[in-house]
Amino acid sequence: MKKILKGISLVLAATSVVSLASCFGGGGASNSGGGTQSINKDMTQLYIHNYGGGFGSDWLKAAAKRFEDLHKDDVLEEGKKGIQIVIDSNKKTFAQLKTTMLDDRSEIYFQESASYTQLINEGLVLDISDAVTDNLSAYGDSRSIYDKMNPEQRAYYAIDKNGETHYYAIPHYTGFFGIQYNIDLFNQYGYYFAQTPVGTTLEGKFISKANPKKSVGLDKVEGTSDDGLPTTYDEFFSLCDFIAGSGNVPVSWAGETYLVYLQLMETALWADAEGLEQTMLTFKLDGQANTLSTIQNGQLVKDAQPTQITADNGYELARQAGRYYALKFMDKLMKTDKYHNELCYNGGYTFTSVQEDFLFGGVDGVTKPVAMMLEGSWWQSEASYTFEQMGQVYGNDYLAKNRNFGIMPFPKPTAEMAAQNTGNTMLAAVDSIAYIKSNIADFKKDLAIEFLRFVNTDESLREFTTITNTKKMLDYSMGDDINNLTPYGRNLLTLTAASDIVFPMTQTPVYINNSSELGSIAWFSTKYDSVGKRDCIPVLKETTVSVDTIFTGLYTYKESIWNSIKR
Amino acid sequence: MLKNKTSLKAKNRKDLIYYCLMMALPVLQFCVFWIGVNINAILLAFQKYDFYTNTYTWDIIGCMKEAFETIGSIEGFKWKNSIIIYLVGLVVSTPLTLFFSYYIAKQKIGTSCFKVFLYLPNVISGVVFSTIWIFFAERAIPTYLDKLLNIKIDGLIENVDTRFMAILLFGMFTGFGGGVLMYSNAMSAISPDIIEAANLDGATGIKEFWYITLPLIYPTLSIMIATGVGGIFLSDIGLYLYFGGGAPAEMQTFSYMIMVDTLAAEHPGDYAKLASIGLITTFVVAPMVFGAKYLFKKFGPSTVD
Repeated sequence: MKKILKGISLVLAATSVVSLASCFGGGGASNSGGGTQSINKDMTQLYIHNYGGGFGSDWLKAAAKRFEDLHKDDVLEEGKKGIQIVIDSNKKTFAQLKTTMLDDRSEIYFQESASYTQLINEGLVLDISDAVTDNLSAYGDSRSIYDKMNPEQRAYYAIDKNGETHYYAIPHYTGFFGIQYNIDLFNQYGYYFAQTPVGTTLEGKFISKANPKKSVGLDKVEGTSDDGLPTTYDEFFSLCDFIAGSGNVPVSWAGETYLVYLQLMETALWADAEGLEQTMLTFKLDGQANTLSTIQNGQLVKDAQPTQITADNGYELARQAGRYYALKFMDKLMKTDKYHNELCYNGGYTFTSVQEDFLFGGVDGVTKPVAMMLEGSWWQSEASYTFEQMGQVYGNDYLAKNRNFGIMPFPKPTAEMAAQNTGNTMLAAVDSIAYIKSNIADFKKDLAIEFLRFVNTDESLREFTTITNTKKMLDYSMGDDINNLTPYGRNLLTLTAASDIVFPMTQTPVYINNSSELGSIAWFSTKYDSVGKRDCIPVLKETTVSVDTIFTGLYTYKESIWNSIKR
Repeated sequence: MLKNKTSLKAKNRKDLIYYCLMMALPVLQFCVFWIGVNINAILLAFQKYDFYTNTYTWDIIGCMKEAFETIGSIEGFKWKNSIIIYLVGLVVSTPLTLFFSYYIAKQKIGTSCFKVFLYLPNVISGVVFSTIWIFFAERAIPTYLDKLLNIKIDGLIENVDTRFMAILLFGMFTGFGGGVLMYSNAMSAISPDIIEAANLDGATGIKEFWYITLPLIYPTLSIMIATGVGGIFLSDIGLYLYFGGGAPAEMQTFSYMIMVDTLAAEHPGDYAKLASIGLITTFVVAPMVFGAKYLFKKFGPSTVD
């Protein structure tokens, strides 16, 4: 009996040793994404990790195939010819990746929400300055990656060491959160403001068969994609009233993730109301704040004089008028039941359910049509399976390439601001970067750097956008390839091209040392009673506290913690 | 005789070698993942980290001061929620667990069924089980009530008035399994002779439980309750599974706050502050646990040593 027990325990011990061994090094359990790709032992492998989020990895597979063809005769190792790119696509967070990066087999990383500063400080990334600054003429591209960056990106990614500038990562993609709208439904029901309203009724504000001409929209130019769309918050809610009156659902969002989504929405509204320069103050903590306001006698009153913002008085930015307007918008939207889906706060209503309702609404004969959806610009990639299903069941007219969706330019808080025609400002809701780990094998360094250059050529950038219907955070033109995008992709690119984009990137030490309290969403923490810090969205949802009180509480909270902000 | 002694020594040596080999891995794991991690956390509790320059500096007074300030600024309702959850566990869950354990130990009708339901949360992943409950509470129950009884309600978790109770009750249900396992095993170890003697003396049912079973499992019970005192700082009824990092403020507990802050920590500096808080709470919890254990020993049944 004892011998049997010994034997069993030895087997168990051996099992645990085997499972331990599989946790370390290349080809281990942490690289499960590459499990379906067989390794070709006659070729040199280049291992790439891709964050498998909404944008998927089809773009990377397409680029990898072209790169492999280009290098099919390369000999980097004795007895091997050609390059095989092995892609590991999963949703590991940066925090999870960071701890094992130097031991994992992945050599190049395309990762969301990675901390550039942390990567450098901990010696995890390779210096890729040459990849960034050398032009891409070998690929018929006259510019370098550096040339395609905007000034904020150049300042952010450039790290000064001993008087020399070094680069350790390259911008990858971004996404924007906003009001996705069903253009087909808008066309079907005439959910557009008329250029000349008829009478004083709600219906009279909108186009009809007798009055088909749309208003010119925020850009004041007739014949553009924003014609007929609401230009002010009041118009937006009139639109919601109109849609609800017609029996459809004006706005929908995922109840399961309502907190995050509504936080993204309020920050996006804030950025658009403030504009690029004022929004960037929050991250730079340096500059002149022109929109600071207080509540006086129930009214929002702008400061008579601008305030010079520094790291010492940065909390004053909690009083930006854009925050007040964003809160007002969210308050009305969240508290008016007829404006949104009844499951918008239900934990069982997932983002895929919302997307399905948005796509199936009015098509399947059961789901109520949904006019607008609060989602990120990545939604169409996420819903690709649903589109395919619809195509199979209802025909090709229901594939993504044949359905019209768009992202609505945010209306302005007031008619006065809409009349100023300040343009759109879009806040980057996700950030991602590409980098190479520092301990990549020497003989593969040049190859990895070459791959990063390759995926950032104009051809690769256009291919990325064609496949994902979203833009990389670099400057490039789609040219005729724009016709290969879905209608939503074209709409998104048109809007982003016409907008100021806020990339919340800064090397300001105060921001980097306190990013958990100085990020966009963190500025919407309020304090107005003894309970302490609260996030604005649950307060709006579950209490009757006024927007005025919440807005004042933003300043109260930020001021109270400012002394603990590390400078 | 000498040959027997020699072979016995060799056998003992072999047994010893085998034992050491088997224990090496768990001991190593304990040293690294418990001792090492805790020592590291204690050292981190006294350091400050500058993310921008990637440097650590020792600042014992500063770190403790900041930690005390942070603990002092924690909202009262978080402590209140933590205590409520602990007390519900102590006053409601523990007696129910004892009852279920007694029922199972007595092999009454439906014992196997009880075991399955009570152990299920410990077998299935907590994330899966909570997800099932979320969909059940949010979609299934309102739909059933609407279709069957024409009663329209919001989801139990969506509804502010029912949310806390829905999560608390589910938390209680998922917590039964571990306690039932411990108590039912302890009850099963009671000698049948004692039970038989008690039955002969007329102590059956509740009397048997109160006068015989409970005193005899008292050591197990006292350890469970004494160590559970630390639950004031550890209880969060799985809020993260329901709300991620955005649980409604009024429902948050101390433990949830620490968890969310840990997950939100973006660099070692944030961990240092949390380590300081953890160290201070350890100095609070440890005496409470030892004190509870002492009280249980002092005022426990005299028949139990």
